Amino acid sequence: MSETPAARQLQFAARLAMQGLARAPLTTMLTILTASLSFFAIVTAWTIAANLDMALLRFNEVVRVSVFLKPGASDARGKEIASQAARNALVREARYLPPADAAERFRRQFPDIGAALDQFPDPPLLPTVEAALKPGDTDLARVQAFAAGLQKLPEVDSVDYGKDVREALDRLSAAVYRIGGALALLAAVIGLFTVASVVRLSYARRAGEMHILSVFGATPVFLRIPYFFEGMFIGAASSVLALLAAAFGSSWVFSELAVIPESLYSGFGFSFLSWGAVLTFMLVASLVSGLIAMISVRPGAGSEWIE
Amino acid sequence: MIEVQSLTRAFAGSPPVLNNISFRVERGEFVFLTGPSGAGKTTLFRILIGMDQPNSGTVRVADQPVTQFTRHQLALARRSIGVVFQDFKLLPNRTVAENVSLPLEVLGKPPAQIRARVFKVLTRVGMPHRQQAYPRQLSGGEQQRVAIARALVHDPQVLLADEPTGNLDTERSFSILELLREANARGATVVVATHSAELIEKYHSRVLVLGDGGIRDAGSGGSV
Repeated sequence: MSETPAARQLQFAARLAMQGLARAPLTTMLTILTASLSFFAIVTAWTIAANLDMALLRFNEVVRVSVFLKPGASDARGKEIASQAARNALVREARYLPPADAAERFRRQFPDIGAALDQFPDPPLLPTVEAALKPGDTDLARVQAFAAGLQKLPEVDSVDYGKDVREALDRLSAAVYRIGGALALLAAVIGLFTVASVVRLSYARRAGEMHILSVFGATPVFLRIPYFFEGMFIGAASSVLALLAAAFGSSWVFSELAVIPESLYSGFGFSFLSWGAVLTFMLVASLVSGLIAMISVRPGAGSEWIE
Repeated sequence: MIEVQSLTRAFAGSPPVLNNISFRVERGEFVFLTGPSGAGKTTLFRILIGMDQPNSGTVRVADQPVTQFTRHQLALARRSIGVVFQDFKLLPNRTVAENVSLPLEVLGKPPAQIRARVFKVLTRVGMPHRQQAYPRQLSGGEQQRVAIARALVHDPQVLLADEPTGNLDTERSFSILELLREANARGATVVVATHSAELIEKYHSRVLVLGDGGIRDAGSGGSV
């Protein structure tokens, strides 16, 4: 690869890009800082959205759809309803819990007050069908439809699927996606506009160099490649800064949130973006910045293209 | 090697600078292009290297129809042309060696080959000891030698020099002309734009005279 003329031309273009950035170090640093602020907003919105998604997923894992049957519903009917629920695409497993079993579980979960159940001649808890949902499916409308279907059965007294919490999480998630998405888009536009503006300034500053390269046979595409590299470098450096800042910021926020008792939020663990997301963000930010930089110096885009 | 047919170039609101001119320069020729200021020498040069487009007519340089090329094709065609400017156009923040190596970098030549050819061509122009100097550290004559080295380093078929001695005294002008003559002796077709009668008279080469929008072939230098 390093022996081909095309590879050497790319190396030359990369050197031109680095020289261009090094000639205006203050401008380069300010650009990276400005772009990194925009990217920070994107990463922050993404982190919040990702954590809300995780919360919804975790909620699905820990919260079961509980179908409380009316007193007197037979065990056979309870098992039928459990079997019917288990056939639903949302459901991982469903089982019927007779009143005696429900009472036994109550005693295990709440030993301090479990003994109170013994005062009743018959088990006071209702026969129940419990359905555990498949992890990964957070579509509220489908869960609602599933619950509504069960509610219509004559033996069913009520259906609990953590409606309030689930709907609140869903509303929050939608709001974060809408507001965060809009803010992230705005931040991306600002960041990329900054990169494009600085690259165009860099282009204007180096018009003489471009002129000479053009006179000696540099193609229009070749003349733009150094700016692609400049944009990529700024994008990469800005995204690294933004990710570092967001990672430290998130770490601090999560450590503060750790004081909340686990039982209040179902043991959900906050986390920063995955390595895959981090690398994807860096790659996309670098490539898009490079392409925007390259496009911003195309002939006819307002730059003084010398030919 | 250079063929101009019925070339016209006019700018808005002015009579044509070049009005239906035609001429040929054969392979290996050394030609002076002269005329008063504003006669269109620089305009013609810009058209020859594809930096300007004529209103009509065709131009072939190094056997390539430069006026019909796309930007990309034009860039490739320029690789067989060397250009020397009156104001040198050396890049101030690059050393002499870096300035001279630019055409070879554009071609993607290996670094060792670039170093060798840069040294060789700087030796030809008498500047091998100033490789690491910056243009601001050189005299006008030295800067033009470097500019000529840059124009020759990739062995162009055609060398176009636009007023290469315009900023130099007589003695330095002659030494620059010697370098261009030497490039011609090595096989390059050379066209030198100048308004210096002194140079034209000293070197008995073919002279093309631009004026009043037209062109006249005045034969060898002594007759101008």
